[in-house]
Amino acid sequence: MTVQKVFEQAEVKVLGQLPQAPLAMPKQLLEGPSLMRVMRRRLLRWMSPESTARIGLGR
Amino acid sequence: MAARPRRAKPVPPSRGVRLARVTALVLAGLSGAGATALFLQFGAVDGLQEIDLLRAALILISTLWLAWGAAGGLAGLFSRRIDPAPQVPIKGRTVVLVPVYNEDPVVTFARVAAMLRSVDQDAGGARIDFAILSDTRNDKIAARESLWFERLVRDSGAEGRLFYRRRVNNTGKKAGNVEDFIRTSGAAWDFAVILDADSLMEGTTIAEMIRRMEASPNLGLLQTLPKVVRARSRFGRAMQFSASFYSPVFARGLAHMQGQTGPFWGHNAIVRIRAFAECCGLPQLSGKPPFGGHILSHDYVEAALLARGGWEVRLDEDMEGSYEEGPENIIDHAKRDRRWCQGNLQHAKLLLTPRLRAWSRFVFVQGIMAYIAPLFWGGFLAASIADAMVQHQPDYFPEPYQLFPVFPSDQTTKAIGLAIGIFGLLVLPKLLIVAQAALNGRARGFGGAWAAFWSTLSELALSSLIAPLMLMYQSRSVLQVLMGRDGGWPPNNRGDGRLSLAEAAAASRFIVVTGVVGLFATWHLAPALVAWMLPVGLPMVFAPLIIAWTSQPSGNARLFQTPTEVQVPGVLAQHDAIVALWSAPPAAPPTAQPGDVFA
Repeated sequence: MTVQKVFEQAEVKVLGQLPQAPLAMPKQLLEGPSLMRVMRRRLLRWMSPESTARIGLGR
Repeated sequence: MAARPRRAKPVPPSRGVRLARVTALVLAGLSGAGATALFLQFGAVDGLQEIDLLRAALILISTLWLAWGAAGGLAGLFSRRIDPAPQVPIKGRTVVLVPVYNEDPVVTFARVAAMLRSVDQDAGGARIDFAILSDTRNDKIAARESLWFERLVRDSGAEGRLFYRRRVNNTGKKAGNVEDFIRTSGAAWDFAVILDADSLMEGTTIAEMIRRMEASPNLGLLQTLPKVVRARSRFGRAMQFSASFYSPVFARGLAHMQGQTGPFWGHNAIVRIRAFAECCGLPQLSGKPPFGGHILSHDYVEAALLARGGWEVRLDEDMEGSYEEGPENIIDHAKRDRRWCQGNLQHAKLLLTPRLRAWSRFVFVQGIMAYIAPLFWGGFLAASIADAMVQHQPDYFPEPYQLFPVFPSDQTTKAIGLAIGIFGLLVLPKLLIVAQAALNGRARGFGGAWAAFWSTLSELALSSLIAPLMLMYQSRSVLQVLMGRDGGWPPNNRGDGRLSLAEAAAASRFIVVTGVVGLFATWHLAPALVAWMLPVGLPMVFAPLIIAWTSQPSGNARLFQTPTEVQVPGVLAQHDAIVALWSAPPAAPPTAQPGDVFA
């Protein structure tokens, strides 16, 4: 449906009343993992056998 | 009907943007390193103590921050190509949103009337509506809003294009107000111009914004650079001059660096409603205020979320005809700053938000730094006094059986050089802006090259005078937030802002006490530092006088002159005329017929 049609179909009875033309606004994911968790994950990744082997350590 | 919005994959920053970022970072890094090296030479005269390392770290952080700001100003001296939109008929339907919160309806609704007229005259027949979104809690003001809305509709003869609604509760404050509008009625429009209650925009500007949105289907948000107008006090006019003269250059510098991850300042901007709805539904943060709860500085977060969703967010600083009003005195400025401080510090919780663009995270860091930087300066001053207290006597005979004494080398020139360098970071960009304005003719609007130069020097003097006061207010705000005190959402003062000495004294008692105690302690404990502390301590001691004096009307029209004072923009003149008409005594019967205001 075009915006124009939405507008025309919205019934406005009171002076200045906003048209009923709802639009979904999903709540966003904002809070990520804690800094400690991220650092721990990174550290474990750097210390993994694959990473250490890549720079010539371990294995 | 405008083209359906489409999302694109986030575009990596262009080569030019990367170059600007790296150059600014390198410049800031070199300045910070240089300042630290100078300081260490100065501080190591009597041996390097732990406290010297602490002071060096504080100087490094503070200088990095100052130099980063200066680099932005220098980048802004280079021009930027912005293509105006093709002058084709506008297809989309736009609503101008005016959120209000306990404002005077006469002045606020007159702004809507003025913009409506400007739009009808200059927007090339585009369909542009206006919606006043009231979050007013005061029932008496709300009743006046209803009455004045009827008057607005009657006088403008624009029934069907003017909307008014008042929320039952003001959940989520301004962000919640706009979100409520989108959830209820957002599908009826393609674009929304989001304003503040004190914003004014020319019809041509609104039309140009819509055209630029229609010309760039991936553009989710376009921010203009609003000019501060109608300042009357000494403080207000200095801020107005600063916003009008320097800000376009600093904003251009920012635009060079931000690429497609531009800013949103919460007002005087246009959004693509579907993009905004898709990306910007803000949840409450976990925990209690000030760090949890509703997001106060929602605009930064919304810009980051649009960029995360693949939409371009852009600042076009070239667009004229975008205005706002500013605080008229230091106390109102500090009140507004308290709110912004809490909002920016709250962003610490969002630094690790999944999938944000790196620049968006960096913008959060910058916003936090803007408020905690004064703490670093304060810490440096305190550490310097402490260092002077524990300074031991120089050892003239460090070697046994030494015949001649060894005098410590005098490094005072390095300390002075460091102070000059730091001051230069503050002053140099502004002086270069004057020079450029004198060369390219922009200074004419500010009374000519000499008047602009004189205004710049005066602004520098005034900002140096009030800097210690700002440092104290900002430090207090940061400490309050860190101690968990919620600042709430006080309405803005929109009066002439004149303050008596008693009012100024009541609001600055803690500054005076800190200044007196600080100077006395320095004189008592480290007399050699008194001269260095005077530029900070004296303004603190005389804070009430400074606050009251700067709130008085500015008598010198030429000082801090701006182009909008010389040639009042059409929409401002129209607003004045409507306010005068609506403020006429009730004895005069309303004779206006529909559309008369627009005659």
